[in-house]
Amino acid sequence: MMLTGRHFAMLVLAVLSCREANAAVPVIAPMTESQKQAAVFLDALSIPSPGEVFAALNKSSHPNWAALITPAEAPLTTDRSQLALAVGVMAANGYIAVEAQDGQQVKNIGREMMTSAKALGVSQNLMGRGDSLMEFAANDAWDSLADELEATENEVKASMVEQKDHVLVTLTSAAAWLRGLDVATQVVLSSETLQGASLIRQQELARRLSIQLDTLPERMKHDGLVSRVKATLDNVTQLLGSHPDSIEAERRMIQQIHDSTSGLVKEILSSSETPAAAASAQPASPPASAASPIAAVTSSVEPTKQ
Amino acid sequence: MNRSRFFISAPGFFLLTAGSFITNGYVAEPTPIVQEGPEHQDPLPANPAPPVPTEARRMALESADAFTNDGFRIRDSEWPFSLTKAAPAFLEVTLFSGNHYWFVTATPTAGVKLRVTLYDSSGHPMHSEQWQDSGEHGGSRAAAGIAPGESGNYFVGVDLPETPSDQPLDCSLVSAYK
Repeated sequence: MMLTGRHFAMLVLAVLSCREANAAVPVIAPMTESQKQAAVFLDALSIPSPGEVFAALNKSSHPNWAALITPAEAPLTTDRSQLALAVGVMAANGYIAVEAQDGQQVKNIGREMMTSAKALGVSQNLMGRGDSLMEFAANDAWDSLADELEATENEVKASMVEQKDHVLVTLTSAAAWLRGLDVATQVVLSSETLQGASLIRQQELARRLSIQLDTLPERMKHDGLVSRVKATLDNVTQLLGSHPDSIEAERRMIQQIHDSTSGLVKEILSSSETPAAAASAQPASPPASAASPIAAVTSSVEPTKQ
Repeated sequence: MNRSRFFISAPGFFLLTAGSFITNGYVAEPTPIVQEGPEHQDPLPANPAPPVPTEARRMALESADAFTNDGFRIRDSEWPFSLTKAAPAFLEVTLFSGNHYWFVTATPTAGVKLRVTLYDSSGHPMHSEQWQDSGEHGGSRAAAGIAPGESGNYFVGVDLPETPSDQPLDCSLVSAYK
């Protein structure tokens, strides 16, 4: 076939267009295996904040956050591992209170977080944060409160690092994430169609957190509560790795995760230091799977407290 | 102390300016680091707050702050890292479907081009919204945004497609979500 001048011009134009398109979208090579292995896992950014999880839940499930609030009570204990875990759980509870726009609850949680931080000896830098939490709660500044909660949690962690207690940071992060998962599973289970179930598929993160607990000092690793945190993370990792073939099987799997995490959260917040404190602590509740409030967790209408 | 008669040194001015918008950083309130004039030689007020943010972090937060107007919430954390042309840097993150994310990086070094790329869990680059500054504000900044279709594990990569030098650059990365 003869290539006429007109055909040639069109061909050149087509080639040039392709080249321009390629230049506009540079080809980026996939990561190598060694790059993936060497990727940084940073406590402060690689682990999602409860606020991130709850923001996604808001879009998929419209949770009734007020029904998810639990009483704010720091455990009466001098066990540093438990206190570090409690800070994480309370930080997540703070986000729930913010989502529910319950200023009094945010104040209570802020106060309890300060109590735990004081017991850990890391409260010196936090007094300003505590005041800010109270002020924002009093003024219904919900966005600022969420920011302040994350900042407070991070400051507690920074103080832990300053005091050479960086191992406690791992516990705080793990506890905050587990409480977030506890809430997320509760919300998902309250939906007949398991709306939002994809949000809890965080197997890699559960595995990572479990591996981080392996780096704790031997004495701390064998602490009863810490070893149960590790066992829960391992259990969750395994469950999230399963591939249920029906919605019923998926519901059972999510229920198991919920039972596992909610039981652990209750244990973290339970007081055990003195018999009197233990007696005044709330009795262990039945698994949340059997609890009736689960049905009230979602609502078709968002709470609109102003 | 007569506060009506003072001048602010250049570093003091920078810190004062930085502190005015970093509400998610280490400095919650503007920190009055004020250099007194020659007639007032009092020692500088001690800053009880933890470390003052680096210039890289200040710049990254400044850029990310623009997203807050659009409802994004900046995470109270940064990833400080050193970057060379030969060695891109990668961070592992967990993202949720339904959320929208921006990852913003910055370096005080001018005349370089930073690039942020998002990768899926298997390390394949993903299509993302891209932003790069024009360099007119000093330093270099870039960002990538994504609304992931699936929740899970992802990687954020930062590299230097254009740089006149092989010297390592101080960089910071912050993230925002809504």
